[in-house]
Amino acid sequence: MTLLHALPAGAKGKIIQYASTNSITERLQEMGLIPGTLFTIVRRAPLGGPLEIAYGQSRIALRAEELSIHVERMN
Amino acid sequence: MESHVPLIALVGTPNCGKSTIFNALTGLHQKVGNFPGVTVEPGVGTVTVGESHHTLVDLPGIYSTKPKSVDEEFTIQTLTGEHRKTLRRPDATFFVIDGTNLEKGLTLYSQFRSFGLPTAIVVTMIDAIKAGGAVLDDIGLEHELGVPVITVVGNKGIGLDDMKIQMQKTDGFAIPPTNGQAMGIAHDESIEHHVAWARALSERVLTVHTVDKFSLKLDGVLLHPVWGFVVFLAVMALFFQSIFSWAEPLMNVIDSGVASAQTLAATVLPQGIILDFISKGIVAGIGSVIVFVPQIALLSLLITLLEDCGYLARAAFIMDRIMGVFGLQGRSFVPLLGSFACAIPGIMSARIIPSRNDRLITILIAPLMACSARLPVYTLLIASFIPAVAVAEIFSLQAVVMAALYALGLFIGLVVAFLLRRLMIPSDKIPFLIEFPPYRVPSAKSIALSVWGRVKDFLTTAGTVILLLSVILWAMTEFPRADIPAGTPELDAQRIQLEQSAAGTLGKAIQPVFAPLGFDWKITLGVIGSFAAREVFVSVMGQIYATDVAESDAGLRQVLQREIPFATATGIILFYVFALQCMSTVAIIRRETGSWKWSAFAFAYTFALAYTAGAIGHYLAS
Repeated sequence: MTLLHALPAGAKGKIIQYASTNSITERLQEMGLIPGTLFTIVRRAPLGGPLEIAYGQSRIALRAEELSIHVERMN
Repeated sequence: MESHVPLIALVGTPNCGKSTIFNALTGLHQKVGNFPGVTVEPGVGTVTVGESHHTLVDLPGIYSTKPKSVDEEFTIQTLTGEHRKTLRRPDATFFVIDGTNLEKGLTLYSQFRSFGLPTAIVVTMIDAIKAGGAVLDDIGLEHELGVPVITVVGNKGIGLDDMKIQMQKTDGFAIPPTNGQAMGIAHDESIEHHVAWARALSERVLTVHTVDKFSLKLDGVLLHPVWGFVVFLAVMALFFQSIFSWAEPLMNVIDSGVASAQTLAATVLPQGIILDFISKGIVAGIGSVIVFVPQIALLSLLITLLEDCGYLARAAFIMDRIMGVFGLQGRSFVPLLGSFACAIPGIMSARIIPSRNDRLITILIAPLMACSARLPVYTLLIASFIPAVAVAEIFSLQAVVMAALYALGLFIGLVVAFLLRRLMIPSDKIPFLIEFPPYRVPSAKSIALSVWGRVKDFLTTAGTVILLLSVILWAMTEFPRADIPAGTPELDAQRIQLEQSAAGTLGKAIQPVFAPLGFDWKITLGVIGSFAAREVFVSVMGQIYATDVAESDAGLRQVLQREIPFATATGIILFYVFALQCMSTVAIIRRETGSWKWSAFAFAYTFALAYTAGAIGHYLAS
C-alpha cells in the first residue's frame, strides 16, 4: 500500500481508503473516487504542480500532498 | 414572481450542459437573478410554450446534496425550500445529466431523489455518446428510475422541443420513487453506496463506456511539460494582444461618437452652463461608461470561449504551481491578465474562481496591473522626461522604462497577494481540485448570451455609479463660476475657471499632503481631477497649462519639460503605477465583493503604496 501523491505518471492503481476526512476527501468520493475505484495517474503538472487522475469517464486535477489517500499500485 | 407561473429549476453537476440548455430555451428572455442577501446569481428566464409561460431557473451546479460552497448551498436550499424568501421552491425540475459521464450524474441523482420534487431527467451530449460508438438505453433508464427521460444535444438544439412538450404535459414530471428497494436504489445513505448504485446502473444502460480519445490526445500536447507551456504562452499572448488591438478601433469609434455628440450639442444649444452640463457632464459621462464596453465584451467573449471549449481548466492546471508561490491559485491568472487591458472586465472575470478568499485577493490586486488607462499618463511623462536614446543598441530607453513600469505593478501586486494571504485573508483550505471537462465546440448562442449578460450587467450597475460620479466631478470643476472678463481667449478662460472652481480650491488645500512627492497645486489638481479616470490627467494638465491637447499632446510636453522638475515627474509616474485612480474600478469592486468596505480597502492600500513610492521616487531623483 502506498500514498496517492507518491505515484509516478503512468501508474495505475486502486483507491483503498481515505485516512483523513475533510471536505475535499468527501468531494472526491462524491465525484466517484470511492474505495475500490480503479484509476490512472495521467501526468503531473510542471514544477511539482497538481496530479491529473483519470477514472471511469472522469478526469480531475488534484493537489494530493496534503491528503493521505491510501492506494494500491496495480502495475 | 407571479405564483401561477410554474417555476422549473435546472439541476445538475457542474459542466453537465445545463447553461447551454438554459440559454437555448430562454434566449433573450433571461436575466441574472439578483436576490437580496445572496451573492449567487442564477440565470432566470421565461419559456413560452403555446399559450403558457414557465419560469426557468438555472441553479448553480452541485456534486452532492452536501454543499461545499456558497453556490452549492444556494442550490440545495432552493431545492429544499429553505430559501423561500428569495426564490421559492421550484414546482418541478429538469435534472440534467452529461451523457458522457452518466455515473457522475446518477450519483447526484441518487441523493437528489430524496427532495421529492417532480422531476424529468434530461440526458445531454447524446451526439458524443453516439460518436463514441455507444448506445444509451433511455427507455431502460426511464424504467429503472421511474421518471421521464429526455435525450438532447444542447448546442445543436436537438430535443429541446421535447423538453417544451414535457413542460405542458400534466405527467411531464414525476416524483422520483423513494420506495427504492424494487428499483435497486441505494437505501444506505453513504456516498459509497450512491456511487456504487450509479456505477452499476450506468453499466446496465450504456453499451460501451468509451474514453474520449480526442481529449486525451489533445491533452498530450496541451498539458505537455514543454509544449503545454508554449501553447499556454501563445494563447495568453494572443488573448492580451486582442484585448488591446481589437478593442481599440471600437473605443476610438466611441470616442469620436462622443465628440460628434458634443459638437451637435454645441450647434443646437446656446453657449452657457446648460450646454456645458450636457456636453461635458452628461455626454462625456456616458462616453466614459460605454468606452469600457468593447474591452468588457471582448474579454468576456474570450474567457467564455476558453472556458466552454474546456481549455481554461487546463490552463489553471498549468499555472497552479506558479500562482501558488504567491498564495494565489491557477485560475487567478485570467483576471490578472485581463486587468492589464482594463481592471473592470478583469475583476468581473474573477468570478471563475470558486474559492471566495482566493477571488477576493485576486480582485484586490487586479488594480495594480498596468491597465491601458495608465498608458496616456505614462506616455506623456516618459515622452516629456526620458530621453529617446538607445539602450544596449537595440532597445529605446523610453520603451525600457515603460516595460519596467508594467513589471513593477505586476511584481508589487504579487507581493501584495502574498502578504494579504499571510496577514489578512486566510486560505479557504480548499486544496486545488478541478475537473477536466472533455473538449467541446462551444455553442455560439450560449456565448453570445453570456457576453451580452455581462455587458448589460456592467451598464446597469457600475455604469450608473460612474455616470453619477462624473457629473459630480464636472460640477466641482465648473462651480463656483469664475469672473472671466469678456474677450479672454478660450483656453485661458478654462484655466481661470478651473483654478477658481471647487476642485481648484480643493487642489490648493490638499497640496501640502502631496508636497513630499513634489506636487505643486496644479499637479495635485490633476491628480484629483483624474480620480474619475487616470487618462483624465492629461486633459486636466492641458486645461491647467492652457494648452490644447485635443489634437496632440506635443505642446503640453514642452510646457511640462519647462514647468515640472524631473524629481516631481518621477513622483507623479510612480504615484500612477499604484494609485487606484479610477472610480469605475472602485464601483466594480463594490459590485463584485458586495461591500464598500473592500472598495475602501483597495483604494486606501493602493493610495498608501502610491504615496510611498512617489515620495521615495521624488527623494531619490532630487
